[in-house]
Amino acid sequence: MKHLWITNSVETDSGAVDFEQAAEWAAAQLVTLVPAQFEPERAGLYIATRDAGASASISFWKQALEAGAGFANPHDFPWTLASSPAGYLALLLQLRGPNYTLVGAASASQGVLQHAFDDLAAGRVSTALAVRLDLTPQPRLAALWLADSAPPRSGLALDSEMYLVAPEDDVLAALCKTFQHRQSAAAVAAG
Amino acid sequence: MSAARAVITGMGAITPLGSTINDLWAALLAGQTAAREWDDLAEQGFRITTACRIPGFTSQPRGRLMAVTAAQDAVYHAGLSLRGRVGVYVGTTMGESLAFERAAEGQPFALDEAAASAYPQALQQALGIDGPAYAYGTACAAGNYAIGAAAEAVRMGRVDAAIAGGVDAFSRIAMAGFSRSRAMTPEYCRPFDAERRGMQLGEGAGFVVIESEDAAKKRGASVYAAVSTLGLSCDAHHATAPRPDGSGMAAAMTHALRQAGRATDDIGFICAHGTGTRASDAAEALAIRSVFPHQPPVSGIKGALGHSLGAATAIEAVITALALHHRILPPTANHQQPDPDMQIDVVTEARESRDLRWALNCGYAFGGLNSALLMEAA
Repeated sequence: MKHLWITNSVETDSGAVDFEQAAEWAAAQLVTLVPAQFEPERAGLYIATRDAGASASISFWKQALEAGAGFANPHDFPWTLASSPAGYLALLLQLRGPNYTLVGAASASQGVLQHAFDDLAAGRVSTALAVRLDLTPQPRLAALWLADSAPPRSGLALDSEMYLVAPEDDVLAALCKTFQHRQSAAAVAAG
Repeated sequence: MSAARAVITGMGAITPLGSTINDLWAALLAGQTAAREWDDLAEQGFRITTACRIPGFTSQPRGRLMAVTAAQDAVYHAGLSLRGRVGVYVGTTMGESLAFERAAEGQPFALDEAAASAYPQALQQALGIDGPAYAYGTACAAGNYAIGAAAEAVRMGRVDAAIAGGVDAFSRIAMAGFSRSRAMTPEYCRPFDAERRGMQLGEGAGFVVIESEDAAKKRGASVYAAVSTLGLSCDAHHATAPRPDGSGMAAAMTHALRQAGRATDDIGFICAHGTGTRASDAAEALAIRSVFPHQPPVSGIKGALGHSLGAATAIEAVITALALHHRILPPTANHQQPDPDMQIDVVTEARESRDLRWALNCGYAFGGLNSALLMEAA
């Protein structure tokens, strides 16, 4: 039986309004989760978001309409993609394994947890950073650093079928709160 | 792998070279390209005015209707009655781009109608299913992500069947963005050609129905190909440019092979990303050479269809499945002059490949996302 351990988590929000500022703020929060030693090639990043790329798409096209399509600012274009925070954060944190962005509400959170657990259980990654990042009305982030190495003193253990093997109410509650949807976390836990 | 094989039993595609898989396949084998000049783009002030578009598809919301049409075609092709746990997995780059463009013009905006998550919701509604539904916003590799995830869900028994693919309707945001990034060619997209000048924007949708091989056999369904493993990696190098040495792309290819326990010389065909840009094609050729010393044949489909962003790898997965099914490799349209620095075997005319059994469908994306989907003949 393989145990996967949630070793660290963070949950916070910011007053940043610009999408690039928000990504920088998210990186500053997430860097506190990443241990000094890990295998970059075997570290996955799994982001769930409701709205990454949305405000940038609107502002990029508004600017194109004002300046002319041939004069839009190319610097802003990559931020129109929902995957832009994941690419940016992977670069800053040097996470070179699988890089996921799922778009939506609870289903996206459930999806990134599922992909992170699956990749850990299958040995495709040795560590996983699962993140919920929504940018409006203000940037809000929740994240879990997961690993299958030495267990921490406290934490939530999941076996390879993703059943809870050491449930602690407070930890499960924290996980569910972090991903803002108790059913999603429970569904993942039940495989 | 010990798990049951995940097989493709139905396919549907809406593309600038045909809205049935038979029309698309015939046009590809004939070496056609969909690229042409568009007056409306010139009138709107775009510097690049060539693209691969689907002029007959005018209904709105365009992206969602493309996805629904292609998915319905795939379900019909599979002869599948949608009972039990049916999952929906959709990849896209821009979401419903027109909704963002109209919001910028001052029209009402609803995020749920514009974001990527609108696609799986639309498919569930149109097909009357309520299983798991995911939207992969992983840019130009999104179709591979969706199909790979669907195949894994089928293998693990989480769903009885899956409808998976990708979609992106023509996006003026993308047209302006790629043009201003100096990534676009003003003439034809020429994957891996010495004179390649950049990518060309396309549009469309591609969907497949995936079931376990046992389930497909049980109901007497035709099987076109199997979806094996998805290899993923991230360059973590630059917001838009790939690692020049192709090492991230090579890692994705290697991961796909390793998970399936396949050797590099098992691969008989690579459906490449092949955008026609100087940097991406050069890095991809390096990656292919480094992983596959036996030089398997390589085709770049974007010379024919342009780059349909989140739909690209999904449509190319359909094409790879057709290549495995017919054992014919489609040509790379507009490839005329080999690049002497690349040293890869670019398919320039339709080529029989009677022994073809394993193929890789590769796609990469902004942010350094790399994907390689391993597929197997039925």
